[in-house]
This record gives sequence, structure tokens and C-alpha cells, in this order.
Amino acid sequence: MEKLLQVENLKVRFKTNEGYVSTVNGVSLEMKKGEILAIVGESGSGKSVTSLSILDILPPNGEVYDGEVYLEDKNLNKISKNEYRKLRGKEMSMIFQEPMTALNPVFTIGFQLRESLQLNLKMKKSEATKKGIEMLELVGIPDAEKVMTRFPHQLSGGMRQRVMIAIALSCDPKLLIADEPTTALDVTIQKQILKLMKNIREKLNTGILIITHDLGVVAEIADRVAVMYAGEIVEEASVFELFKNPKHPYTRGLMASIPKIHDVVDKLHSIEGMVPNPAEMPSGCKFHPRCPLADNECVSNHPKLEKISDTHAKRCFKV
Amino acid sequence: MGVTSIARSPSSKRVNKKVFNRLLASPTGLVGLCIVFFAVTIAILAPVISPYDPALTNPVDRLVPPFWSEGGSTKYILGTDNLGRDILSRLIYGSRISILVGISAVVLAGAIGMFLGLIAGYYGKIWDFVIMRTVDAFLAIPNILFMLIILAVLGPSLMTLILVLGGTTWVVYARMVRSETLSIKEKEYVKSAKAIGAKNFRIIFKYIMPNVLPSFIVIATLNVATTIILEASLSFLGLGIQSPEVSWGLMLSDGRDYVATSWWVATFPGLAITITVLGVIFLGDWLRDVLDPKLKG
Amino acid sequence: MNKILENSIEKKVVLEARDLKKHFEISKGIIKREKVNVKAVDGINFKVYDGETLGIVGESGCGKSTTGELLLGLLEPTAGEVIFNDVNLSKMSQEELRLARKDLQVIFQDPYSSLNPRMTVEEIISEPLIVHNIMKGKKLKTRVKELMNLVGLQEHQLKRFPHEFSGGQRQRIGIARALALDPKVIVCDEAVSALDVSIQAQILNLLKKLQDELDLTFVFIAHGLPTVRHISDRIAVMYLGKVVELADKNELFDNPLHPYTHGLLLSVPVPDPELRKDDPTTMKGEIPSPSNPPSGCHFHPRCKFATEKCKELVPEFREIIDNHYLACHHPLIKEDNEVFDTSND
Repeated sequence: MEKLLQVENLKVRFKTNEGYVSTVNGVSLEMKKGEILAIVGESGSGKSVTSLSILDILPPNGEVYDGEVYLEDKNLNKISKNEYRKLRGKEMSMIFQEPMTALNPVFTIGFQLRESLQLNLKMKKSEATKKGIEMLELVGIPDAEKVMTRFPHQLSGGMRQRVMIAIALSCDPKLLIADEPTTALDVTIQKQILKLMKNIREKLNTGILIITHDLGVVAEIADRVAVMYAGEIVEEASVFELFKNPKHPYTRGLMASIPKIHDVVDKLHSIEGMVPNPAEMPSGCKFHPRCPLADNECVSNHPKLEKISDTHAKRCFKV
Repeated sequence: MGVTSIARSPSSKRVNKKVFNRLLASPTGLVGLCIVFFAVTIAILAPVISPYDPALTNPVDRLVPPFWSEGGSTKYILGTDNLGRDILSRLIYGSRISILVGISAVVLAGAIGMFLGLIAGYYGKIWDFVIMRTVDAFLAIPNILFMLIILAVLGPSLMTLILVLGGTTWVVYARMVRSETLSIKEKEYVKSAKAIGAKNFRIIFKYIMPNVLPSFIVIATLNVATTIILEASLSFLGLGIQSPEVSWGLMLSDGRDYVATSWWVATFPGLAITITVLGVIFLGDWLRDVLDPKLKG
Repeated sequence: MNKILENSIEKKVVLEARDLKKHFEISKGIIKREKVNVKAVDGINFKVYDGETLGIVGESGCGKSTTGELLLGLLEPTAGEVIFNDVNLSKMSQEELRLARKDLQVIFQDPYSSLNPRMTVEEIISEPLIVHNIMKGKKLKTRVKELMNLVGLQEHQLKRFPHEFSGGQRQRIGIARALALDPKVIVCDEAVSALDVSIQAQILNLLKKLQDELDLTFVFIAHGLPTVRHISDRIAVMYLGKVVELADKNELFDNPLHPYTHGLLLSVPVPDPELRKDDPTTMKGEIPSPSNPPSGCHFHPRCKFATEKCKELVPEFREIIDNHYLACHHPLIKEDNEVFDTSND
């Protein structure tokens, strides 16, 4: 399969009152066309920041200070802000966690759907309307023509997320970034949306980068998984490999700490301590203060992400 | 509670250092503090530093320009007015009234507004209705006209001026406090206070008021500024401070007729008002940052 | 029959909801103000036994949080009653209710908004004891330290403010505050939902430990089924203001009788890609608005088994097998089960 997205050694920092704080420390990723890659991590792992920097929509106090991003063969670091803006929506687009705040409450769904089509693809209004209805049907919205004239608050949460997906997909992007797309939704609706995203990949061959904290969602939808902790990828593998044979103690801990619906244990495994503050990162391996296997090597040396097979890489000395 | 808890907390040393650092990090805050400190010092030390009696007229030295202008002398650094009174001395004494009126009227208005706003927001229903309709009524009457009528009836004096200013501007606080109270009332921590069985009184003063306070203080400092201006306007219109007492507004009023020929009579009190008001505003902005609980500790 | 008898002897009911209803009136429209009656909780019945954990699950709008607030007496029910320790909470005066709260505490969802940002940890934890005049001075200080140790906080953090803590630690502060009065029942309203996965496990383990040590009774309200299964003894499933199924947790998960429960269980993503199901069982449709619920059985528009009867008749909430309560006209009964299908009567 062809390469779609490549991120090389991405580093992002934020300016705060106490100086610069680095939240993403050298992330490298690769995605093929039509692939679903999941980035999993807890809050503060840098997973969202990674996705925002791919789209170049970091908040004003954040900046990418090292690393490169390629979309197909295009080096995105070398293009102007204006060219980047044109890429967004057309070549790559994003859906967010809370579809209520991501949609503009004062415009109809139809207006918002047409907007990007008219802007990016220079379509006429009638054409855009037709395409908009098509998109709404694609994402499984019944009565699409009627919905075009509705306002966001008139739709339910699940419907709004479908509309967001329709807008994101309207210009037929090659890459869709989904930041916690189902976290704000109820489980029965979550299931529908995940199914929809899988369908879209089948139909349009869109590459989907999904950012989530939920291993259940990952298992349901992803082809490959990157586990992030404290601004780094600590393990990367195909989804089957990762769940069958997790290597990194953090991944293992994470898996053991979620209650299973079919397998009840008396006491959950828990990772002691908490996610480190980006301003006060531990030395060596960033996971060592919470790691059951840590020894002196982990305290003083920083492990590299090394391949253990074609489909599996880990950042740990001990396993 | 913001300020008291800083004093009470055993880690107050660390807190004070942080507050100090924050002050240094904010140049406008520092400027504001300096200006306000300066103005207050002058007001307190007025009898000591003032070169002349501010009411002393001197028909010989009428409308003497400031010392750097042609015809000016270092005898009257900022010149004299139409009755030959020293402008610098009048400015110094005027600061007393302007600042006193500004602060006391705001304290009065703030206390009324805070209390009624909390009651209206927290208890709602009939309380809210009565208080807020009163507020609306106050807002519907042109402020200055209202004040002028009361002043005309009661007779202008320092005390009535403070009462009138405080008694009419409280509505601003009441509205703000009420709307903040409405939103804070719905916060989970207020629910949690109810859940442990806290009484309404405790919830209002321990949960709602401290969290209203930061916005309240910002509004209050801004209102010190507008009150100083209001006082000046009333004095300018002749129903505020009466001679021989002096305030910046009164000085402006005196200088009105001489703007074309003797600019300094009105300009200096005008500048004094502008600078003091700016200083208070800067200080207010900075205070809002300091009162953010995230800074403490 | 024996089993029921045993249960009634062994278990003491500490908290009970009887026909509990809470309707909110909402005004809609700008020109023509219409009053809409939202039936957030619409006639629910259940008992909470001493020392157990009753889980309440459901999706948004099902009324589970409102139920929690009704149980706590934070909301006044529109109809029905809450019985706590044989006393009717709904009939109490404000002052009596205030005193009753000593035994009935709550842990909130969002550890960021449930702690007063302007109080120190010490003030937060000691407040319940001060409010009820239980202790003061040195004794109070010792008790606060004891509580902090109990929930895994360190004593030197006493003078800090909530914002200096991480989400998990804040939730521990909230737990310590709830424990201060030595309550009998604690309602946990989405107590771990806002936390990171690895922190959730810490808090769930802590809650279990505390329950064993302090002999607590929990009502655990959450939307995450795996979490609820982990911590609960019995589980009530709510849908649009009603309890649709209530049973022992293993019974409920292994043998769900309500089509909604069944669909809910299948919707939970399983953290194992091998079990990835491309099944057609995905529940269709949306959750209707509680201001305009469907007629009859509220679930009928989304239900595969719905018949005319379901559209017209509200199913009764009844005990269908021992300790397994259900509100459905067409329960998913396995063939070898002796319970007859009530849809034929």
C-alpha cells in the first residue's frame, strides 16, 4: 500500500509563564492509505497535540520546534501558511470530541456543509447542495434534505457527530483525524459511529488517525496502534499483536487496569502514581517512577523505540 | 476571603513571594500600584507637602501660568486660578476629597450590591423578583439627573455626596453578583456543600461569596475610577463639593471659563483625574490575576 | 421461595425508592411560551441493602443522576418517596434533612468542579465535621489526618488548594470529605468517569477497600458498564426515566432479559480485537428526548421485538425470576427457562 502520512521526530513545545514546556518529544509515525491508526494515551500524553500539529492548528502559544511531517510526498514544513490552509479540509480534515461546540450554532447544517465545498472545490451552490445531501446520506442520516435546513441544536449528539464527519469528508480528504470522536457519546451511539468510520474507510479508502484513551475503541476499529506516554510513543504494533502480546509495562498496566465486562476480577490492577507533569519530566525512561520493572538503567538512560518484529516496536530496556 | 487566607496560611511567605513576582511580571500592575500609592500618600500628607492654603485667594497673582511658561514663576509651580489660588496646593488637597469619595462610595455601593445580589441570586423567587425590579428601576432613571435631584433636596455636602453616589451605583454590583451567584450556585461544589448539610448562610459566605469576589473586585476598582469621575461631574455641575472645600471636579468646573485663555486651570485637575483613574484601573486588572486561586501555593 | 425468605432475614434495607418521580417544567419558545414537562425520573422502585453496592447504569437522559440527587434529598421528588433507614426523607423539613445527611453522602463526578477552589484541603475535609459540630481543635485535626491517610493522601498536603492536585488526588479529597461524617450510604455519581484509565483503577480499588473496612453501602451511578459490573453487587438499568431491569450483576450480564440491556451489553467495545464483531446487532436509532418519550414502552421504537402491545401498554416493573426485576412485554427468555413468556397473556 502507498504511504499516506509520515511524521518524523516531531517535537512540540508550549510557552508558559515558567518558560517552554515540551509536550511532544520526538514522535515518529507512518500511515498507509486507507489505514486506521490509533494513538492511545492518557491525558497529558501528547496525543492530541500530535494530531493538532499535523494539521498545523496548534494554539497560539504552541510551536513545532523540530521534526517533519509529510503528506504523501509533500513536506508540510516547507509550505506556506496559506498553502497549509488549503490542504486542511481538502486533503486532510478533523473531527472533534464535542460536536456541539465544533459546529457553528448560528448556521444551518446545509450552510456549513456547502461552505467547505464552495470554498475548497469551487463548487456552485446547487452542486454543493447536491453533494451535501449525498454526504449526509453516506454518513447514515435519514431524511438528509430536511436535515440540511436544520440548526445544530436541533440534532442529537450522535447526529451532530455524523454531520461533523460528513463535513470533514465532503472534500474527499485522504486523511481524517478523529480526536476522541466517540468520547462524548453514549455507548449505543458510539458503536454506530465506529461502524460508520469503518464503512467510510471501506468505501472511500480514507486514512483515519484516531486519537483516544479508550482501549475498547482501539480494539474495535484500529489496524495499528501507537501507545503514547509523556510525549513519546512507548509501543507501536498491529492491533492484534498489541492486544495479544503487549510488551511495554505501561501498555500492560493500562490493559490490566480496565475493568472487563466478561471477566470479573476482585481487585483491578492499577498503575501507581500519576502521569508526570510535562514541566517536571523524570530522567531516563519517563515511565520509570511508575514502573514495576524499573532499575538503575531506566533511571539514568533513555530507551530508544526499537523494533522487535516487523509489526511491533517498544521503548523499554526490560522486556 | 482571598486576602485573609493569604494572611492566615502558614505558607504565606511563599505566597507573598509569588504575588510579588507576579507584580514584577506585570508592568502595568506595578505602574498602577505606584500611581495609587502616590495619590494616597499625597492625600494623607496634604497639610505637610502643600505649599499654600488651597483656599487662600490672592487677587494680585490671578491666572499666573505654570513656571515654565512665559510669565510664570517658581512661586506657583503649576500656576494659579482666577482667584489667585495655587493650583498645586489645590490639586494636593483635592486628591483627599476625590479619593475619599471614590473609595467610600464604592465600599458603600459594593456592600449593598453584594448583599442584595447574593440574596437575589441564591434565594431566587420573590427575593430575586423584588431586588431585580428595583435594580431595573434604578437603571431606567438617568443616573446624573437622579443624583442631582437628591443632592438638590438634601443639600450638597461630602456625606450626602458619598451616600448619593453609593446609593445609586450599587445596582451594577447587584446585577453582577446575582448573575455570578446564579452560575456558581449550580457548581458541583455547592451541591457538595448541601450534601454535607451546610446551612445556607455558610454556603453563601464560604462558597459563593469567595468565588464571586475576584470579578467583584475588578468591577469595584473600575468603579472607583468611574466614581471619581462622577464626583468630578457633580462638582462640575455645582452640586458636589462646595467651596471652600476643593475637589478635582470643582477645579475643573472653575477652570471651565478660562480654557481658551488660561489652559492650566482646567488641564491639571483633568490630568490628575485621568492619571489616578488609569492607575486604579491598572491595579484592578492586576488584582484580578492575583486573586486567582491558582496562584496561591 | 426459600431464597427470598433468607434474603429478607439477612439483608436490611437501608435506602429505598418508592414510585419516585421527578418532573421538570421547562418553558420553550420565544413568542408562545409552551410549558414542557420533562419526566427525568418517572416512577422508579428499588431497594438498597445494607453493605451492598447497587449500580445504576444508563445512557444520557435516562435520569440516573437525577435519581442520585433524589436519593440524597438534594432534589424534592414530584411524587413518591425515598425511605432512608426507615425514615421518609421526602417528608422531612429542610433542617431535619440537613441533619439526616450525616449518614448519606455523595462523591461527585468531576473532581475539578466539586471542590471549592478557595478552600484548602484541610478546610474541605474538616468542613462536614464543623458543620455538624462534631469535633474541633486538635481532635478535628487528628481526624482530618486520619481521613487523608485512609484515602491515600499525604499529611503535608493539608494546606494546599485543590488546583494543586491531579484529578485522581482530587477525587481522593472528595472521598475523604464524604467519609468524614462516617456515613452509612454513599452515592457515587459517575465517580470515576472523568479520570484517566489508570487512575480509575486506583479509585475503584480504593472504594472497594473502603467499603470492606468501613462497612459502607454504595449507590454507584455510571454510564460505563464494565466499571459498574466491577464494583456493583446488583445493577439497575435505566432508560428514559424508568428502571427497565434490575438484577444481580452476574445474572444481569449473563442473562439479560430486557432487549435494551442486551443491546447495551453488545455495544460496549471489548478491548480485544479478536472479539471484534461485525454483527448487525448495533442498536438502531437515537435516544429519544425525555421531554417527549415514546408511548407505551419507551424503548419500543428501537426494539427489535416490539409489537403493537409495546406501543400502547407501559410494561409493569415486576420480579420475573428470583431477584430479577424487569419491565418488558417480551423478555429474552431462553427456551429451557421455566418462566413463561408473558407476551401471550
